[in-house]
Amino acid sequence: MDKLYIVVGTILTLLFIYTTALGLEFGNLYGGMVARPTGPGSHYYHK
Amino acid sequence: VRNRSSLIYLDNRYYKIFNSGKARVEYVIGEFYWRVAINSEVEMIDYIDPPNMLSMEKDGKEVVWSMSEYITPEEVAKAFRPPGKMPYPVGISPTQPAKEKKIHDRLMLLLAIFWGIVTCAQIYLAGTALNDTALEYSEFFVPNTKKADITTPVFNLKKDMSNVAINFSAPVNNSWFWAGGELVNNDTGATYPFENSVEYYYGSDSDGPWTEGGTTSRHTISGVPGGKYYINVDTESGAFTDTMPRQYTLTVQRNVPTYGGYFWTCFFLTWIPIAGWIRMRQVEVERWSNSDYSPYAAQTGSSSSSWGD
Repeated sequence: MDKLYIVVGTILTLLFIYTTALGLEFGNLYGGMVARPTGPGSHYYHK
Repeated sequence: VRNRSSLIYLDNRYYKIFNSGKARVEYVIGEFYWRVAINSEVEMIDYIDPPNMLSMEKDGKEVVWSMSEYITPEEVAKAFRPPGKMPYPVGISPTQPAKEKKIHDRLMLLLAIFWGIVTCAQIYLAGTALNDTALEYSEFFVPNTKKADITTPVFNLKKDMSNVAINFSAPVNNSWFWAGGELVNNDTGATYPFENSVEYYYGSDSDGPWTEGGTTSRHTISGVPGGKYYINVDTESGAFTDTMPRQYTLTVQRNVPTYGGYFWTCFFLTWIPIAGWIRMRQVEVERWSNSDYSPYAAQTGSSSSSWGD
């Protein structure tokens, strides 16, 4: 299991360094869409 | 020896209490290093720290401590050369070293190394990010209406490949502003669509004053090649109390630091060590199922199972 982890961990680490250096971020390759605002939602917080 | 009843400290190692009770000699066979007497009785306690066991025996006259160390069935067979095959090991003995523990320890060390590398890389990459403002553009909008297709001046994005942050700032006040559009490469025509919404609300209710949102918003587009670009924007707004024109600001930043990849990588790096920890725990639960002092008593439920090598 530890040998498998050396392989998987190395791939993940290199992938992270490579993609971050190129400004690639998972889930953010496109600008993405947001719904038109409709007013205050349920996520407000109290001071 | 430092005795804290359930824990014994000896030679930089902690031994946990595993079993205790009274032992009585009923019959004797074999060879012993002390004089054995039928019906002699002692109080005994076993403490373990695999592969070692520390045992205490106490009778009316003396207290005897002894140390034992686990040896494999192969070593026993080699020493005694019994006729036929040795019995096949069943379960895990109190002092049997678990390879799962070694694997778990190695996985935790590797996890610390990987986390260290990833964290150093993140600090370096975030610290050396250009954070370059490629465009700052202001435009008027009429509240509560749509405004179609404004094109910004052409601007330059540095670096071969990096991310782009598109920021909007608008004077919203219990109202909202929305912008949708696309980042367009002036040479190739490649487009990167985006949408941003700016909302800021405040008020007061039975719990007191509250606020929601802010007057700025950011959207980051990943993996945009360098070159000349412009932006087409549609805007819309609502909930304003008047229709006096207001100004919004669009700012484009090149190569901004991001943190999502760092947190996801750290998260995925933990999966295999967690699996290793679960496997090690299963072995320890099995080992301690033979003890009256199991720290996993709630999981094992019973201490009556048998073990042996």
